[in-house]
Amino acid sequence: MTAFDYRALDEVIHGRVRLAIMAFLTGARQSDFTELKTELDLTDGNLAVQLRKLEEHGHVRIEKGYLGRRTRMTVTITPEGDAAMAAYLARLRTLFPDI
Amino acid sequence: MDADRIDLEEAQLIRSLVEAGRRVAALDGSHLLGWGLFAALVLALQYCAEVGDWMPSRVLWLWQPAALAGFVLSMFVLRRGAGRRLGNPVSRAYTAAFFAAGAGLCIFMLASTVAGLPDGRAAAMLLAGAMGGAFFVLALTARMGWMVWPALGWWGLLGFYAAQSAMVPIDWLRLAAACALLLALPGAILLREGRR
Repeated sequence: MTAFDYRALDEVIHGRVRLAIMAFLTGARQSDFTELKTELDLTDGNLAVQLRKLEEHGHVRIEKGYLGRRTRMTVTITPEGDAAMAAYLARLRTLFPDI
Repeated sequence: MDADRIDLEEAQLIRSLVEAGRRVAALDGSHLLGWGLFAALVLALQYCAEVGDWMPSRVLWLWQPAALAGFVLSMFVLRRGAGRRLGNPVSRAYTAAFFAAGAGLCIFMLASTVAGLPDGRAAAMLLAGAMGGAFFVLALTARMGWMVWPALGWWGLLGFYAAQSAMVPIDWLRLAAACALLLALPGAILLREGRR
């Protein structure tokens, strides 16, 4: 066991795809399903599963509506998600101070 | 991604994704950079017109359209950021902050023109206050803490003009420097961050 305690990392954010979603939303604040899928190069199924998990833990808020005739799923990072991401990055900084 | 696989490459990936998100929100800085440089140039020309007496300075009032052009163009930041979507809250906040500032300045200029009492000092104070407010709103909504510094800079300028009794020609150069430092420079910083 190193001095770095991996158990302190937020497991919800720690998944590669979920981390990518959260990092992207940290910058964009809000996105939609299509944009996330394109920007992060994900499949519909994978993105939907990961978003559901993030929503269950309160990291993102998902709203469904319409843009013209098409359905539109808007994804917004929540204050809890912001705090969780900040805490996650703080943990990483204990390993890499230049992050 | 196991804990023992976290490395600098992962850290760089996180950073690049955060920046990609910011780019989607259209805060790439080009609007601020272009506006700031254009306004600084126009204000410097205004100064030349005042001191050189080779242009009708009272008629010119170039700085007002230069300022307003930037406010109007801020609307297109939202449109560009929206793309196929309805818009991003950061770009909406950006547009709302600068558009509100521009609308306030425009109303003041119209009112003072109608009243026949053009007051450059009051307009400069309003401009500085509005710009400071816009940057402060942006700092809060975009979670870019460093944006507070340009806000404080503009408010410092507001305080300076509040303490003055009237505008003098050198004030055009002061405003030009303010536009370069407090408008164009934040835009350049945003651009640099986006490309990193």
